Amino acid sequence: MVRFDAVTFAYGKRPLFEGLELAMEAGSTVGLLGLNGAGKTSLLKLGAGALFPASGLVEVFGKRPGSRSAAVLADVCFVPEDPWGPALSPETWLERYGAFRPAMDAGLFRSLLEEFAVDPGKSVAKMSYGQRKKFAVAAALAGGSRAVFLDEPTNGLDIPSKAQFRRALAAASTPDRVIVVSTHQARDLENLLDPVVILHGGKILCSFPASALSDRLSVERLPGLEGRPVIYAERDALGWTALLAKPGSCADLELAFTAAVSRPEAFRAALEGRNPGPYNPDAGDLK
Amino acid sequence: MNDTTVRTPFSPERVALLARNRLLEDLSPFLIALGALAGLNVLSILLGGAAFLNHPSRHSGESGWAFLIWLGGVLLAGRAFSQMHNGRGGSDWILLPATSFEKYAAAFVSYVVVYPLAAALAASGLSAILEGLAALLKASPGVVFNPLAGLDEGSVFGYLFFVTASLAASARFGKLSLVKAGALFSAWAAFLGFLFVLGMLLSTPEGREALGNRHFSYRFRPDFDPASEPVLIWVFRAWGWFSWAAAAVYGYFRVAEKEAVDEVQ
Repeated sequence: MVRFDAVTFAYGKRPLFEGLELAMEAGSTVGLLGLNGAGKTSLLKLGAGALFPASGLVEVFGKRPGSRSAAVLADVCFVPEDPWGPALSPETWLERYGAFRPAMDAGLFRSLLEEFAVDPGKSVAKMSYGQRKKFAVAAALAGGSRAVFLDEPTNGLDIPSKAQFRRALAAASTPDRVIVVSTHQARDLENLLDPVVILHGGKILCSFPASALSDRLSVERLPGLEGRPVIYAERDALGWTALLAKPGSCADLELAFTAAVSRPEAFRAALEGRNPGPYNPDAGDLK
Repeated sequence: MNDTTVRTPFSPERVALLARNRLLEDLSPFLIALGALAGLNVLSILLGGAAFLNHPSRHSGESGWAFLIWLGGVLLAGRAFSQMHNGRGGSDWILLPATSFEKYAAAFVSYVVVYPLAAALAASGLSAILEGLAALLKASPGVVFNPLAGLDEGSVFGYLFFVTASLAASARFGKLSLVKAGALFSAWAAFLGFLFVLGMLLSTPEGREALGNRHFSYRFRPDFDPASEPVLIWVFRAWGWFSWAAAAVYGYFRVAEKEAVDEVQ
């Protein structure tokens, strides 16, 4: 599992996390959502040993990634939003660098490249942004690391590639590994992400299983909001699209995210099965 | 590599893999340089009637092959750690599952041991081919390069020292590492030379008098021959080995520091 225990982290004098607590269990594909600057990338990098916490403990399957020992680095994999491309073809990269990861599955790597329509003989450095990203994702998912951190993996992917990515991610999710995906494009992946963690203001605003979207929440189109357990609502020409604190039609993850950062207390109350309290549409701006 | 190997703090297998990757990545520039030398020497045979690299220098009596092998080693070692300083590429370098020591050791083995052997073999082979071509075209005969001829402690140490210093320069500077290290080395050498001359002058009455009088012409011990001073030879030798060890240790610790401290971009 991946564990953040009282983690404090700052860029210079600007604190980002103070006493951050989070645990992610093996077998899960965690969706990490947050506004720009919320610290999603930094959280992934802390988990991958690419950044060091100022205090507190980051553990990946019982080891500190910040130690950067060969064993830890082979067991974690971080794919940045804009991955670097080596001046090698994917096939040559596999021959030369695959050996550093003992659990690397060469067959899976090749089949993912084929699925993503990435030319295994072309230099990665000469590939487009989307192609480089697919190469990096294929390397990460086939690398056998038990902790995989993907930063905005669907950015820059065309529509067919997003579908391919979803299939690859579903296939790569195994009971012994944690895949953490940070994304602004929640709709691209919402059927795969479970649990969902919302990061806001340097803190974990909430963490909930995907099933909560249907067990605790629902979305309805309403002419008015009176008497309803409204968490958040958006007005349009025909009335309101409201996120309600009651089970029903599966709520949209993007709407749930907007609700969570707009009315955190009401959202948390709804997840816990409590009444979200009165809703004031005029106070619905992001906090 | 298996699960057990990856858990060991030091793995010769990882060093071998890193060295192999490094040498394979250097193969293209090496072959291009070899091809260029072959082309220039064929031209030299056709236009000048001799393969210029097979003709020893009139002054030193040595052919240019040894110098070129030395130069190649210094240039390759001088960019050994360039990826480490390169933003996103550096992230891949840092997060590659191998320790700092293994990464440094692989570079050291590659340029101190494997490269000179491979380059000497390639140079001998090319030299022999050029000599055969020269004979075929009835050009002026030269000497086939023999890497073992003229190989002594001084030349081996010279190569070892400069390649290790180039590795340290590459670990310290991201760009123009050899130029920057050369400038630092020159400044340091000039400073040491100044101290040496000052010390020599202050050690004798005539020298001290010379210091205060700019019209005073003075030759310090005209019979002085450093080569016949065993103590001085040992001092220089010890200083050389100390400098080499310092360069090796410094280079390693720069790599280790980068891995231990640097945050990934």
